[in-house]
Amino acid sequence: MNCEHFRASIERCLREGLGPEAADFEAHARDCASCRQSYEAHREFCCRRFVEELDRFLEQELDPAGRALFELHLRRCPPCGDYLEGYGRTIEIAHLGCGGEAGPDCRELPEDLLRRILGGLGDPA
Amino acid sequence: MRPADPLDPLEQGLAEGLRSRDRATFELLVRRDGPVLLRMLRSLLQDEEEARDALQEAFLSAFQGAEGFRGESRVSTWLRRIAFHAGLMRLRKRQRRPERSLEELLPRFEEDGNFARPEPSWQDPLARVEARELRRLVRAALEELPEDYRAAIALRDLEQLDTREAASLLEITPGALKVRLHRARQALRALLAPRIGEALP
Repeated sequence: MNCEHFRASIERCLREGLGPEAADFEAHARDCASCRQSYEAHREFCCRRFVEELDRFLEQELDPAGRALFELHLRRCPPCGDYLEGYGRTIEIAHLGCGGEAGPDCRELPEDLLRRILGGLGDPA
Repeated sequence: MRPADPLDPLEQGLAEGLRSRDRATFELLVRRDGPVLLRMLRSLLQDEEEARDALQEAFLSAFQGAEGFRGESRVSTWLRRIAFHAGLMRLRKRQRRPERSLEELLPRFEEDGNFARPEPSWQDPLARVEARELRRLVRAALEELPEDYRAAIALRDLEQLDTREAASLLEITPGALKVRLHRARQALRALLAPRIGEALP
């Protein structure tokens, strides 16, 4: 197994196990420090880290390696998929439920409020 | 904060009008900036009467302090800061039900970092919960958040200000705002998910 094959197998290894390829996979991980590190990083990416990095993922602030780890965890962890879905919905619902409603009628102040504000100022000069 | 453009004659005229307490300038500013400020206060306070009162208070306070306007920011930015402050003061004074501890609303994890309990999920509530009911649920949930977290959601998610503008109003760094907003969204999600589930027909 070479590095390219190893890295391509990490996702499958974490999701399904490797079956007959396991011995080759482990041998390569023993011999190649860089691949071993990459494997550890994938394995250690837990739900807590997913939640911590969720905002940076949505804001597209993760570097390519961080994004790949995030997306891999997302693919193999249904509870995190649900969490992400609910988080995105929360932002959408907050905006539609309470923010969006203030829009269309807000180009001018209501006349009574305008009069109240200007009247309340007295004569500033 | 974006400084007033020295080459922008309108901005310069407004600044001079403010400092000389010119009545026509005041009226122009109330008409021009009032609507967007009212909208921000509605988002923050979630109460029409309080938002209107806060707006009136903000303009009065701005006009009383107009001579001190130094042009270090645009007039609209200066007014927004005053209005936000008026809203925040009202939020802090308000008699409210006790705030929830944010910690109890954040997800919990096992030692290995995986979820300790399944987080409640929801399916397409926008299509199935009536808009008025959704608004009521969001308002009630926002009401339970500590005010600093609520203000972060109001500015970023409701008003959709960018991080820099919202952080400037809250007088915190953009990094601190991101952390606060992330926690606030997680807490809001935890409050809303089960309630939306119950409201589904």
